[in-house]
Amino acid sequence: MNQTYTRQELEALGHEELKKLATELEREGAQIKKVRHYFIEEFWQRLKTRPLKAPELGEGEMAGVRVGNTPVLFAKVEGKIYGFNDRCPHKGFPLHKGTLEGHTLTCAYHGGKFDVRDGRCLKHPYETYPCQSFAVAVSDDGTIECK
Amino acid sequence: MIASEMNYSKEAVAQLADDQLQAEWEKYLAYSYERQRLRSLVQNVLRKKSPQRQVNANDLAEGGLTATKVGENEVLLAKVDGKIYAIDNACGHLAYPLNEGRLDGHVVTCIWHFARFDVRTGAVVSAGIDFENLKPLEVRVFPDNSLGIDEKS
Repeated sequence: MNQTYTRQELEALGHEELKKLATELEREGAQIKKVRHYFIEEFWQRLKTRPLKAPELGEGEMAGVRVGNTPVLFAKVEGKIYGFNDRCPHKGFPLHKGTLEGHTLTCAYHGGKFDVRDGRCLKHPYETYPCQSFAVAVSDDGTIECK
Repeated sequence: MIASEMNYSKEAVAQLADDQLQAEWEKYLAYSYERQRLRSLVQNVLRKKSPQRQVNANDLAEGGLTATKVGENEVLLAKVDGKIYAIDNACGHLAYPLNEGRLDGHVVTCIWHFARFDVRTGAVVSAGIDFENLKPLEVRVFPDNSLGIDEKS
């Protein structure tokens, strides 16, 4: 396990050996994927649970907040606050680790791009899913809330 | 912690300080991408090394998929509305075999990561996707039901 191979080395292997190697690598890949979830879960565990106040979110900024068990992302563009599920619809990576340019939110993991106005997927290397949007309201005391 | 061993437990990840968590994640990412590249390379070589396989027109049911070989390349054959189409069988994402995927109308979906291609043109179907279109091939059916598969002229 964990051995690496050059193309030349792989080409020297027979078809059956290659198939065996491919199976081993898939098994290893499943383990790698499991570890990814440990990290992602941990990123969310560490999100602040303290409610976010409107003045804390600057123009063009994003912030992740945990509301109950849901990681929520707030983004402010042109004075308007948008709310989303912080899980990227592709592999669940925390969107708050991404970047915001204009109305375009880019996931840091695979570069998926979403329009914050409607959650629409603008570009993705593998598949296109929209992002889950939440309606946002600012309460009288300035707290940003999901409706 | 040694990223290359990928033996992090859930508890070990939970014990990392914030900055360590980010640093370990970045190590994890680099490692996972390196292994993904290897898996893809193995799939690429597998597509070339697979045994020769002769397919006749009547081996393929309507709406069915199968793979054949043209020289050293694996080719996907799909039958839609009685017509047989051929494109590269190595998925444009990580080179997994498309013949194990699913066919809906003219669109084949790779079962591994759901990349989609139009079997008529080899073009990627989903919008905004980065990877390359697959090469379409010309298919001729001879009177004895054997197939002639050639580069498109």
